[in-house]
Amino acid sequence: MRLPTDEDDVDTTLQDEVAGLVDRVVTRADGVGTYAHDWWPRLLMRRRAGEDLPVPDLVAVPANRDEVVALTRWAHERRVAIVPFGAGTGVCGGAAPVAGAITVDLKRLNRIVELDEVSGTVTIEPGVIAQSLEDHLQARGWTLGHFPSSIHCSTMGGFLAIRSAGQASTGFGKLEDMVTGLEVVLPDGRLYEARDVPQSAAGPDLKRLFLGSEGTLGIITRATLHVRPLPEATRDRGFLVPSFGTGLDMIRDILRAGIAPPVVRLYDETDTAVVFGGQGLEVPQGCLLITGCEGREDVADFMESVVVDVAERHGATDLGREPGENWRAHRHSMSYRFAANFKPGGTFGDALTIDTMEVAGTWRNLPAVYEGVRTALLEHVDLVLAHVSHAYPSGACIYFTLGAMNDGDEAQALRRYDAAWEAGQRAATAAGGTGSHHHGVGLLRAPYLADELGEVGFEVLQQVKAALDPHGLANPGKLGLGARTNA
Amino acid sequence: MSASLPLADDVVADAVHGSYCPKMCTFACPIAEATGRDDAVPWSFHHTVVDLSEARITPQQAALGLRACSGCMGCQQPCDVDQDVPAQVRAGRAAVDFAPGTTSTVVAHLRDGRRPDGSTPPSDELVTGAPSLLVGCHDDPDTVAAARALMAAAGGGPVSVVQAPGCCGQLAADLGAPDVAAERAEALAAALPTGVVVALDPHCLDATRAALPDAEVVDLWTHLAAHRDRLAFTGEPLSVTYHDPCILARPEGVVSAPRTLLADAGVTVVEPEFHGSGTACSGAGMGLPSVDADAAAATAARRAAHLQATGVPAATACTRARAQLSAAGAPTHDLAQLLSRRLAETGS
Repeated sequence: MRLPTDEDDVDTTLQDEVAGLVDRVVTRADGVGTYAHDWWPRLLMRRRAGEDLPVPDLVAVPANRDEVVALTRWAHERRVAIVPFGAGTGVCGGAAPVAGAITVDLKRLNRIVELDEVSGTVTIEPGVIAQSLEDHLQARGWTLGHFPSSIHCSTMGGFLAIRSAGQASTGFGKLEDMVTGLEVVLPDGRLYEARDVPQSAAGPDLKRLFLGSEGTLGIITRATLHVRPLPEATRDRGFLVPSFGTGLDMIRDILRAGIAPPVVRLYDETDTAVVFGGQGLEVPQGCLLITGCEGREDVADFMESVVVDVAERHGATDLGREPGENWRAHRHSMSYRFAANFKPGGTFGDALTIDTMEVAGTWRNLPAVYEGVRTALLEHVDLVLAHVSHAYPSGACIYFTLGAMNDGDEAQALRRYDAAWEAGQRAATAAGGTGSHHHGVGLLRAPYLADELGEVGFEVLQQVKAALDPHGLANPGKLGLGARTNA
Repeated sequence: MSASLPLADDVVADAVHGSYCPKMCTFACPIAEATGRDDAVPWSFHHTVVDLSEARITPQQAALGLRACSGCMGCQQPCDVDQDVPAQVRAGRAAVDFAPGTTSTVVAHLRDGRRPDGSTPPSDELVTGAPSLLVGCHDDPDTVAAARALMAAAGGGPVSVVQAPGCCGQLAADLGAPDVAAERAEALAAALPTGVVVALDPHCLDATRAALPDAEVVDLWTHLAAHRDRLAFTGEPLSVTYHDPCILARPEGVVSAPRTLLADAGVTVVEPEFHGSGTACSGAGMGLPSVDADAAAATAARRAAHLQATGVPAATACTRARAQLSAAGAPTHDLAQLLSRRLAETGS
């Protein structure tokens, strides 16, 4: 049984049943337009083109875990699909509505349950806005160390669901690496709890099954994350390296020296030009590299001295503290400036194509991933910027920004968008990399997931899905699992 | 309720811009934080105003979508382009002929020159003198008496107390009744002298400045702090936590004056989580208790928890905030009354 999609025919009996299960429901009569899209640029481009995007038939707003359980159990019995929705800021369409499904808004589950200062963990509900959590922790002398550029607007549940990474991931890891405990409501209403333990060898780590599942295997209702004391000192610095390749070598050597500065960022020549030009500064030859060392004062100083030493050995020019401190002061500015560029009549005219694509590869493959993806994107768009902002012992993520001006032609904007994504994703995997580092899959990358996981890998995922969600009711269509959506 | 007005081009342009911003100010909205509601996220107001301007939604849907704002301006703090979200909410409310909650009743009272609760403004308090103390439509007699005593001590003479005739116009504008706001502002202008006008309720500042362009309109605390050399306090040491009223702390930037006066009076301020220009809202502004009582109560409860966590009594400089916070379980002193009691003990 599904909710009909014609608003005149919405089954009020089903609405009443849902209303009896959760704190609040929002109907089409109330207005559900704000749930029509998340922050997938393709959906935004369609909205900008004047299209009426499909809206949910009904939005359920549970107030606590028990209501999520009751709703999910009911949906399982009634064969109604459900789409989890946090802040609606994911960039891959993971929260896009599905025809006949109920959208489940999880923002009411926004309690910071407990800060355990002995263990150094915090337990949260999924609707907590990430910056609110960070503010809460910092007021008590702690930090999560998770600083994605959308920290001001996104929920922790959304970040967990897509395996997010923040700007300090080189030192602190991705969000999934911080999870010590997890609670998930399965598609049939059962409650799975991964107990809060620092590490375990009790079989496979089932937490990892749900992190990155984007609501297709269940709804995360609670998580425990390890936190760390606020650093005493921060030492930001900038360098100019002769080439992108030299910069990659330098990052690798910094990590191999035995330190992991939380922030390591390397901009390619084009992105370097944008960074300097955007501040009205003369554009230098080479690539900008930013580091941010943190910790106890002597630790931060020592870490920075190692960075400076490695930089000297790679022929980098030390630009001092200013570039690093400037980056930190404006670390979220790109997100705040999105509207100025993207809106109708934006900075670059009407119908701008714009998005970001984060891929990753091993140090061996990374130059080929960079060249391959960049070349593939440039066949379809006007401008491609790239920077490395998440580095690991064996490789790193490259974050591409792509843009194209279309003189008001929205159809062309979409065509170029689709072609760029197809080419970029295929190029990433062809070069031995992954097409998704921390934005997830949603609808955007669903066509490429089988390639990414391999035939057997994708079959395993499908079988897990079938076992946990035999009726395909949990966020159908996302990750390429289950029915197609109407987005 | 009130004649609906078309949305101005600049309002729509700002809303369009905001509707393509990735909701960056979400964390800064105390109502979104307190309620977890999607329609309280500032981005949703932009989206609703755009949809209203394009007739994609009904007036009723627009009115429902424009409920959960207290005008606290928290969302403007991080904004790259200084969006005035409450201005868009006001414009949107004015553009629809639908009023949620008890809005219609409140607007009817204001139109008739009464206070929001339907009571008649007192008229027997007028005292000749300067400067003038403007009493807001929510201010109670004890607070007015305390403010008058403080001003008299600071100025060394009598104070002219002027009761806004029901409303200075701000609340009517907030509730989407610009015609009533204009009428009230006109009545206010007729009632008030020029010169220095000291507003007791910080929510009255903007409207009073607009109504009296030739007057010097200041908040009580800035006025008192400017004359603090004439104020003498005494009393036992006391600790309080001070709730910065949003309007005073953000648009007006008045955060040090109340603290300076408290320090002068021997009162130690224990800062709560979220203070100064980063204050958290009590849910009192923009007529929120009338428009969306649930959101107002949830917002007040969140703020009350911050204040209670300090372990000391709370005080604030806004009658509306005091009522909200006290109702939410954090008994809150009125700052004027608190200070005047310490003033009175000196015999000043």
